[in-house]
Amino acid sequence: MSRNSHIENILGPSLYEIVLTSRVLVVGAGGIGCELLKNLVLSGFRLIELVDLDTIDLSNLNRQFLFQKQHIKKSKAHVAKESALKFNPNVEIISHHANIKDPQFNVDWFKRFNIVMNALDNLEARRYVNSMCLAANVPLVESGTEGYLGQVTVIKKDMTECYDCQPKPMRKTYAVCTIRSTPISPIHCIVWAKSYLFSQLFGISEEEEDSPIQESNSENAEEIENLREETEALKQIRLAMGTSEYPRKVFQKVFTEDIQRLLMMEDMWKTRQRPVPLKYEDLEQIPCEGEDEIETNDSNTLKNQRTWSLRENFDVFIRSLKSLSARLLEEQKIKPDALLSFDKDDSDALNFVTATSNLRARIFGIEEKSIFQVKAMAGNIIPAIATTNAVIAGIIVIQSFNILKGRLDECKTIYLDGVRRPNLLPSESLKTPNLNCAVCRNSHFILKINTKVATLRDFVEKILCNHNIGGLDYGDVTVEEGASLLYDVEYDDNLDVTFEQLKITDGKLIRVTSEEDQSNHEPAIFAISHRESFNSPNDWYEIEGEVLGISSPNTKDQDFKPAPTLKRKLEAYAELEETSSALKRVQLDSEIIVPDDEIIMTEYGLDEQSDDKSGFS
Amino acid sequence: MEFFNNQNPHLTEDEAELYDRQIRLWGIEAQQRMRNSNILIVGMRGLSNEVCKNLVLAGVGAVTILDYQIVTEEDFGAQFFLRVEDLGKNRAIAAAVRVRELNPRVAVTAETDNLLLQSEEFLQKFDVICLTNCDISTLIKADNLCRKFEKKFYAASAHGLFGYIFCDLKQHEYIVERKEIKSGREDPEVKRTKKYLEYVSLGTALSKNDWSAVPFRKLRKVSPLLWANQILWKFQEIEGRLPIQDEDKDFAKLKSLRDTYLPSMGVEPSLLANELLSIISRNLNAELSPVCAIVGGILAQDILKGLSQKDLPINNFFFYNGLDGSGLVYQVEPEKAIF
Repeated sequence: MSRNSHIENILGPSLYEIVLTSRVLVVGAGGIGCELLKNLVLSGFRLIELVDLDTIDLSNLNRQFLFQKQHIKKSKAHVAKESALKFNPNVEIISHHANIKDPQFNVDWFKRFNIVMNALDNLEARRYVNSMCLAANVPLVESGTEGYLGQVTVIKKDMTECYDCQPKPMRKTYAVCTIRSTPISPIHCIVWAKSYLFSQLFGISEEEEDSPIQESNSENAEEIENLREETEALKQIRLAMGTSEYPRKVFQKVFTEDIQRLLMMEDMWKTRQRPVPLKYEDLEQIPCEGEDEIETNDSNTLKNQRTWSLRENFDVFIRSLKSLSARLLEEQKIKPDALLSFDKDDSDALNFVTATSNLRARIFGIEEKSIFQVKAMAGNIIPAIATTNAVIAGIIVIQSFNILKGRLDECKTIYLDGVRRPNLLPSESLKTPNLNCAVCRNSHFILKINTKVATLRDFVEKILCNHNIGGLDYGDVTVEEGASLLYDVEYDDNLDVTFEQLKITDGKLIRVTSEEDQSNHEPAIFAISHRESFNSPNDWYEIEGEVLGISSPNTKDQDFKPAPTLKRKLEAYAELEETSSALKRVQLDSEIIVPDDEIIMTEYGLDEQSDDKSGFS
Repeated sequence: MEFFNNQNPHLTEDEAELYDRQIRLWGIEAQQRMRNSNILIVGMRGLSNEVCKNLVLAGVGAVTILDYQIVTEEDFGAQFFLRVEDLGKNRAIAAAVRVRELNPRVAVTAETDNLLLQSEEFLQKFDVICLTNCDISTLIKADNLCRKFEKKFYAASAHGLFGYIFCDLKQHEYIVERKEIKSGREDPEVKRTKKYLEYVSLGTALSKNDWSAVPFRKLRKVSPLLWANQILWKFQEIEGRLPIQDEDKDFAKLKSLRDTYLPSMGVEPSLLANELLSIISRNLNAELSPVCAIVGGILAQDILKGLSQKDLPINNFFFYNGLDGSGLVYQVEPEKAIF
């Protein structure tokens, strides 16, 4: 009997064998990641890679159990690995303290895995991994948790919806007049303090793309003009940073003069409560309470959960303004264009935002908030506990077993919400891809090329236009990378620039759309893999992907994969008929059965090159 | 190290920082209640590793781990609190070392004497008693003792791809919070409602024999694990042990129990197919980490709900089925609807 005896008995010899030899990637070593790594290491997996760019923080320790106090500030990925090895030393874990978007994790790197599991907490990284898994054609288990809620789903190219098939909710934005002129709620004051005042005084300008303050055309044009003048005036005052007069000047501008200016707009206050400006001299004269007196008797309330008095807000405003100003000026001595950005764990910044937000709230008769509450709202804190992450991570592994034994039909989207009865884990069948998805409804190729030497012209004129890829005669094309247009019929400035100079390197994806007869030609996505040399001296690129049976002198024989003929394609579908209705929908609903000259192909285990263990065996 | 019987009954600033992300979810009051609680976990295998981890991370006051058995090779397969050098040591003592490291603020004690379970004096100390991988007669006795002393009782087990949880919370008061968004204000108002549940003992639950009153279309959808569990317990009651894997005679007994015992409760035996019964009755002694994680996570969260008296707890059975991924809750009580 060994440590794996029970595991082998439960999984059965054939699945156990697959698990032993599967290489898995875990993206993220936080709440879900720690639990997931533990489960994998105790389920027979022996080849695990783990990527996380973060370091350990005290607030992680209530749930990320592979970390303890002595690990604070160290790399999550490395410490997670060390902790896991303690309870199973017989596993190979490769940990990367890095960003999953780093070029070293290119599409070839992703292809090495039999399965990828996300344990992320942000949209951007999820999108990125989704794209890479589509490009590499590796199954992806996607998951997320928030408080008591959690969910797990499976993404497999051409078989299921990808992460971007359904639109994701946009970040909350606020109209500029609500923030700058007519706030109603505490959050409006906090956004003002963080994204307007803090930014104007210390940091990035509000014209930044990801500011939550949005201008719209329907706003009062006169008011917009007034606000612009106000911002300009504040910029002028900023020049006095560091002087003893600075706090008074800032205070008088934003809490007195700007409010007096607003009061002159009579119409604005016809139905709204009029704001009451604060006067610096008045606040200076409020008596200071001693520390002991302001401690409440109710020891149930923690220090940071108490709302401050007007005098306290005033004092904290001045103190934090001086601290932040001094810090910025110091940094500017070394780097003249230095800026400070808001960080919820920076106590000066948090104090500043809390105090100024409360002063503004006082002016407008809005409820004031404690620093505990402001931290959550300004810092976008998501409450998190160990149990939700533990359950979700367990579900991820159970789903992985189904994927690895080739039973995608047994995978589902599973939810956890704790309140539902009788099913605590409601589930839905996986959905077929959204036919209009700009991300997954593409032909995916891997382009191996010397990015230092090859130019865009080489790509457009020699690879795309003269070479029939997948039977599509690309003709006139549009080439994009992310949101940038690289080339189209009217924009040829970049043709003689190298890939590297255009920043199209490892990890990048370029999208090619044919201008000709759009309806029959699917866009193609090329995942870039930098190569300095190829097997034969005459070759300068290689393409992997759905290539129809047309060879070219430019590709190596072994990279050339004859695509299954239509007849073989239909045989593959016939096999699928026997599996469940979820898969049947793939054939029937998504119109994948298409005329002969189309190349929409998926790899139904007919591709020997890729280690597609998730084929239907 | 701060022990749970320290002078300050209230949360310290340090604790507030550590537990920040969970206080923002369930509030300071709930955290305080957890912090002042004392929990007994019986049986320290994969499932209890998970439960202990979750409770200790949450910051309960004290946890006592009771196990009379010693660590064997197979234990390393699902127990992350064990280290290679623990082979041959008592399971509770070995694990307790690492449980303490997880959160030094929680007082962790290891006990190795199974007879303690019959000691009223011993059991009185605890607020919650949770028995894992225990036989049915032990469960019934312990539950009855808990009823006598008004302690919250949980029983659970994870084996193969399956797991169950049973709760007996006696008379349980709890509150439910609902966020209502009032028009004009962006901040939702929190509405608190007081609720009350009355639980039955395990013995009473298992005595339910009016299943025929449940409409068949509903009964058909009930997790077959409910029936399987009852049959396995019946087998254990009669034979004094669990069925042995691949032992034909045992399987024949299980089938015959199904065919006689279930109908006596008003349940159609066909609701538990041979194949499923066979799969469930294999690997009764074997744990798989992800299943322990799922059942352990749900169990620990329910214990925390019970302690904090916040949110609807499980009433009274939960079944996890790794074959179809379902996690179903049923109220198994004579004369009551199951959900």
